[in-house]
Amino acid sequence: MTGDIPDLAAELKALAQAPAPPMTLDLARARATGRRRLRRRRTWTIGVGAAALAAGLAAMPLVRPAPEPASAVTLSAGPAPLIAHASFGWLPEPIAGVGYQAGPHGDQILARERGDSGARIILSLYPDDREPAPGRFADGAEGVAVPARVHGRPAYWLTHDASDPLNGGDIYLRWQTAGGRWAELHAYYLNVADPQEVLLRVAAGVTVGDHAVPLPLRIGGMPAGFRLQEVQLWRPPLRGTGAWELQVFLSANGLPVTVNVSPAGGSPRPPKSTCTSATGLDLCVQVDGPVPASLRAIGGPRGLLDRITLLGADERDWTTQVIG
Amino acid sequence: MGGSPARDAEFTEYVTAKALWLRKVAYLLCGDWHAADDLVQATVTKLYTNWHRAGRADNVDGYARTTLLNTFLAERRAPWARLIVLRGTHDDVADHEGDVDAALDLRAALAALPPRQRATVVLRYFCDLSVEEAARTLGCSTGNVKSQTARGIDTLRRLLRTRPVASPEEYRA
Repeated sequence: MTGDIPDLAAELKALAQAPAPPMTLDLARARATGRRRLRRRRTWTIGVGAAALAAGLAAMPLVRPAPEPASAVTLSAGPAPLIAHASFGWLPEPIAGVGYQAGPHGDQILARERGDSGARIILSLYPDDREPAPGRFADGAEGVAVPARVHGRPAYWLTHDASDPLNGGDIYLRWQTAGGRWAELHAYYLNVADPQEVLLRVAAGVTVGDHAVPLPLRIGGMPAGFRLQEVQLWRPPLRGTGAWELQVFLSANGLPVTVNVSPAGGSPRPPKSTCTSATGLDLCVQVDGPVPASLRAIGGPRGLLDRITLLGADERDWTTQVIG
Repeated sequence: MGGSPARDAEFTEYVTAKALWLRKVAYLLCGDWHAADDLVQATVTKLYTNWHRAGRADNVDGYARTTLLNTFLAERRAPWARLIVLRGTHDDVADHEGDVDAALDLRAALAALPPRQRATVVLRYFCDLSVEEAARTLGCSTGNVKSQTARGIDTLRRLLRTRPVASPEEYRA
């Protein structure tokens, strides 16, 4: 191979067709092991079921439909594009920063360590004070709740297996916050000595309440025909060595126009972009396709750059009055 | 509970038909045929345990694929997995012409990706899943799938010193 992967799908199919040794799958062993697990599960279910029934009869709970999780950050059409509904407090040492992503590709508040396999802690909120049911995992397995406490309030670890509250490292902690709303932490690649203690401490530091997320730019009025689609503030950045990077995805006459901001030299310049630098920041307008008429009307990418004021690398100078 | 002849027959028929497909996905995830076989063994054992659910699923293949992915990721998260070094690259694959060299380059590049990125790339480009389907399989947001895919492709491109890789949708267009 010369290193070319013009069609990755075809290359992967070719790789999967590579000559292979005979398969060693032992179906009889799979069935025997599976049967043993089923017997254990049945015994456990009967025991726990009896205990749960006794507890349920003693204190019949008010049955209400289980709430759906809500994102902890949303996109706003107002001057502040990102509205966070909760905030992290204390975070463990490896975490390099907290980012916010809101738009059609998913909303999340994400605390990250640097590196592809660095720790990730995602914060989500539930809409009210109803305790969320464990529900099912993506593989269809019933979630199991292992009770915990956060600041003395009810909490549980959500796992496949009651004997492993940390769920094999794909960790879920749900708890009731001080104001009554339920929240969730989803963490993985968390390489710390005591993940349970660390996540309980992270949960205890979370505060619930709306606040606009300050950003490092001001756009002097959204041009006619433009619409805000998505905002992603990555901290640390996905690529490069800077402290953060911001991507503002706009739609101009239905065509994509992206505004990228990052500390000077901290992130690679996006392809097909027109860039400038000021106040220690790089600013690029990327048009990946035909130039929309509404962008041409204000002088093309350069005209949009001229409408943007950069506020510098010091986050204390950033603003929540981003658009207008 | 468990072990009824009808259930066993149904399960055996399904796994017999799909084992090679599961093995291919597992090989792309593990980069090694022996590890792939171990992963398929663990997956079909779980599948048997949950066959009452899998057998009723609208999409049994999707259920099996999700089980495989979750088993792979859970194993990679376990502390011992960090110590695993892939076995020698040529011990189980005949040394053929250029195509095999190409495959080996790609295999090494895939192995360099962190497990979640590798899983995302395999789901999107080999299993041909949409962003939404991949997100459901991995139990994460679509934004997360997009960012994992972007980083995975970027790393592959860098390792293979190649031109940009188009999305599966662009190939289909």
